[in-house]
Amino acid sequence: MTDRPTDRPDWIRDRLGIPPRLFWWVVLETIAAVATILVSVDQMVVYGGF
Amino acid sequence: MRDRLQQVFRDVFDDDELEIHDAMTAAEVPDWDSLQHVNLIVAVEAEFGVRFATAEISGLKADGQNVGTFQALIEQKVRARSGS
Amino acid sequence: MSFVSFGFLGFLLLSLAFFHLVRTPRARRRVLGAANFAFLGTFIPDPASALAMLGFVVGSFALVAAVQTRRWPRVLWVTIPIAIAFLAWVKRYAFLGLVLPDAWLGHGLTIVGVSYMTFKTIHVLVDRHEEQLPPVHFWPFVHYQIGFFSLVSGPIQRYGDYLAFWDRIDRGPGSAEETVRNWGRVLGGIVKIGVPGALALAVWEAAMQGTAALGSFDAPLWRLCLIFYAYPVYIYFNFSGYCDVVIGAAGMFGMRQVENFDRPWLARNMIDFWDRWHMSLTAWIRDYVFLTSYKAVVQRWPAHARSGGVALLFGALLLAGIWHGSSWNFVVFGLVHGLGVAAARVWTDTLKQRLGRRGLQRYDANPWIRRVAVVATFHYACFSFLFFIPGLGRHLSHLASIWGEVLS
Repeated sequence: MTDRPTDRPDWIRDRLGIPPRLFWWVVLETIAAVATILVSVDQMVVYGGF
Repeated sequence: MRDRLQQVFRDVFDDDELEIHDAMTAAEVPDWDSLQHVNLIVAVEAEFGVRFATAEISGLKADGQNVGTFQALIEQKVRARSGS
Repeated sequence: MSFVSFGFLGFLLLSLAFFHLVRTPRARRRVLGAANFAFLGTFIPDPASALAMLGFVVGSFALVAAVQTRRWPRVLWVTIPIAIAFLAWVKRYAFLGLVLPDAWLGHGLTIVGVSYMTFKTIHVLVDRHEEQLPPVHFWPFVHYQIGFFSLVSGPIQRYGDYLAFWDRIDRGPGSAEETVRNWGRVLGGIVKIGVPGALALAVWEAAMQGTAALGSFDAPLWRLCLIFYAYPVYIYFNFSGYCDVVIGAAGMFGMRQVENFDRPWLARNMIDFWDRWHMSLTAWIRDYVFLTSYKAVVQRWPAHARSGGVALLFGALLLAGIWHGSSWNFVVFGLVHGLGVAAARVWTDTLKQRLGRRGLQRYDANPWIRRVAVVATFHYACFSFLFFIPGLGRHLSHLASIWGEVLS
């Protein structure tokens, strides 16, 4: 399996056992989610819950 | 058993050229939607004298299920009915 | 507990930490069970509600026990109506006012997720009666019902799938990658609820009120367009965001929850729509309402199979609509969807008669027809969601006045 440029750095794959792209995506999601929670005025409850 | 089952399929889907095989799934037969699925079940029940439970009927269209598993289930029910 | 909160994320991570710390499957069940009760507790505001929830879950299990122990063929004819009657009473369906004294409907009870739990109970009743499930025991059943992976708004998971997880209850999905992917999904769901979902709702509210926030979009026609599109968009991001959260959370524990959405905006007709929207509900209605009744029609009145099928499709979707809520607007919602689905069926049957099988396949494959169909279905679905608005009665006169402004 060739080492594609987008799959480096290896330390993520080595230490965490996950592809680097996934790692950075989750980092972004975490920032987005934290920002969402901080900003949301009425903490959104799921519609209905019926 | 395969021939009888094939004839049932041909009658239900109104296609005399329909050829069934073990790996065939619902997705491969264009007409095979929920209504036709029930028509097929009713026809199979009548032809082989067996009964399907609700979960079995819907389970037959699930992933991993095909004509082969369907036939195996019918054979199992026929054997159970004849008490062997 | 709101899903868009640090509290929920903390709860999830804490539960996971304990889940991984303990050694045995039994201990893991205890941890998850405790988490389920803690989560449920946040939805119980007073002792009366606690009692109601307790009574409901124990009562549901009593129905299952009756089916399991009684070798009586008609047991479903008693137990299922009881389950439905209780649901109708708790949700205070208006039609009950015709047969019950007002005082009986004056209770202030709410049981979170009662509609979902009732459907899960009926599934267990039927499948257990038909011996498609192993014997059901009390505590697994309780956690099947109240588990935080599906308590608030589903998905409507099948007992067999839940049991497959609960019995084995491994340490997790088994790979770091899958755990992290699921965590990403939870976070993505929170963002969906809190950003596009909340924005769409805000747009809808502003359009309804005609506030200054709309800026140059306050012309009546614009307002109607915003009202028309924003509400379904809000529902989609809110509900699918919730599903992402609970499905992702379940995945982190190693449980595969069932999916509820598959790009509903791509639906080419209303039957396809329900194969992409709230899929676990569609599967339930198909299996426990449509299949049984259509099978009876085909067996007893084979000459009327086609029209019977169309009528039952209509009826099944009408029922799905009514299940969503106890006020009259949900009946209309159900009618609109019932009509849409029945029409789609009749249309396909007519095309097959006119064009033959090959012709129908060519029709389905035509990209331009598909585009028109997708746009038409999208708009029909948006139209149906006008009737999804709670307290629609209040809004109707308001909508009418905006429409009046458009016309003048």
